[in-house]
Amino acid sequence: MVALVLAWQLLSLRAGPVFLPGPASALSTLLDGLQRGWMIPHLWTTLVEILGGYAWAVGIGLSLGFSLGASPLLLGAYEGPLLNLYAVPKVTLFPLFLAAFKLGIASKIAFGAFHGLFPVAIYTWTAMRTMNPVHLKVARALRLSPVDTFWRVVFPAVLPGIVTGLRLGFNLTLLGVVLGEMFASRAGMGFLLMSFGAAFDASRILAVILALFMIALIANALLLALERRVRGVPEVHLRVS
Amino acid sequence: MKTRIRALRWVTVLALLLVLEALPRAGLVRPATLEPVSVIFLRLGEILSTGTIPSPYFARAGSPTLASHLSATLGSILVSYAGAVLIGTPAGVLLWRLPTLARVLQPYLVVYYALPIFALYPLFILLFGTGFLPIVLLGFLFGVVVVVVNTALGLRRVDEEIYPKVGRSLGLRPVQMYLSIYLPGAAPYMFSGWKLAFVYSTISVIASEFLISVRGLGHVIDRSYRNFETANMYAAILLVIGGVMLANSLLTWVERRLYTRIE
Repeated sequence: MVALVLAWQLLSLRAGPVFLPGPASALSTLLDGLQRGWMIPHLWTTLVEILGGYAWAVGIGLSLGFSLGASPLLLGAYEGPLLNLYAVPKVTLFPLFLAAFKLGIASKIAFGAFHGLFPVAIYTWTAMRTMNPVHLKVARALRLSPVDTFWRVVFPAVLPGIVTGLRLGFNLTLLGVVLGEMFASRAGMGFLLMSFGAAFDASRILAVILALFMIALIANALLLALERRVRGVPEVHLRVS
Repeated sequence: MKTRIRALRWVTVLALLLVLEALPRAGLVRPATLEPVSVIFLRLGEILSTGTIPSPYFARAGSPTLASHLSATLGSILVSYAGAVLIGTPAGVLLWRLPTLARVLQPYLVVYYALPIFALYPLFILLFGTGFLPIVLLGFLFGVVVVVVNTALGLRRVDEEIYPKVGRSLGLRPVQMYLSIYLPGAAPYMFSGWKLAFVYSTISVIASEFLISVRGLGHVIDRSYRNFETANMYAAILLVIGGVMLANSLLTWVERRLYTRIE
């Protein structure tokens, strides 16, 4: 951490403070943005979009994951296409979202949800497919109702897989929201990035980057803590398929 | 089961295409928003066969040929991807050889992909100007860490198996250990990292071009969108998605073969 800040400071000294302000100046610009308030409405917009997009991503991702995990037919038909779609640069589809949801926050919420739902769905159906089949047989032998089977057998078994999907989904939702704002919007942190970029205001760009990175780190600390509680060790392994 | 799966997949694709064709034809969606699929495919065919984008904007901007954009995009992907593999793989080996370093870096590697790295793009433009360099740098940054992590992970997995012991008792020299024990053993995991790095570099390059750039397929989509050239935009989107899906299927196929070989 210290090394990182030092490296930043050194780079800033080499590039000159106008092009790359040092860590201290970025931090004070960030505090200035919060105190004088030029950042606050945009911060709220972005947070609302992230939370809205994430809620949809989790809802749709879990339903998709459970449906595909429960049905070999659906999994066989759609797993390949969905994995392929996951690898596509989804930004290219953003104009579609703009057309359907207009320029306001709805298009960013929808786009953030579209970004985030893939890991949630993929980790859910993978966890269901790798479930121990004996557990399901026991549930059938005990004549559990479908609802009981789901809550007492399936859900606890797949939870460790799901929490990893939830964390990766959040990261992608955040990315989707920021990308959407950067491409076309009138508010939000991504909008600030692009307008300060056009105004050559490096220290404010860095302040916005710092704020976004902090949001990402705080959310991930929470989700990693949840993951550690549920499964012991968080998964660093980044392979999806 | 197999035929039913295949049937369902094709029925879904056809239904989707039909809906996309019918919506603008029935007047439910304005043609400025969505052109019928047949029009988009015809436009893509026209662009591919003539090699030029039929647009007054690109003619005026001096880059009407598909080749100029395609070469910019492929060049950026290639350079950033090559950088990610050539630097990431040795770095992964280093991370595996030095467990202390791995332990120190572990928390950073866990959160690396959590950060919205694209937020750096306006800063890079400020530092390096619009052009090749900021796009390639971002593509490299987006792809390199997954290579490092998967390389280290794969090598560590080989260590858990019996093969290194066999190698040592056969008295293999270090070079031989690498070439005939570690490399084949870790290959599938390393390849997974390489494959993901390709996907990530591609995503990053297209997204950067999409935001600010003067060339490239992402730039074509962006400009066509802003100039209301809907058919050109969808044709370019189709080209990008089709190309990435093709490359990804190919890499997944190779990956699956590598994994079945070690099982």
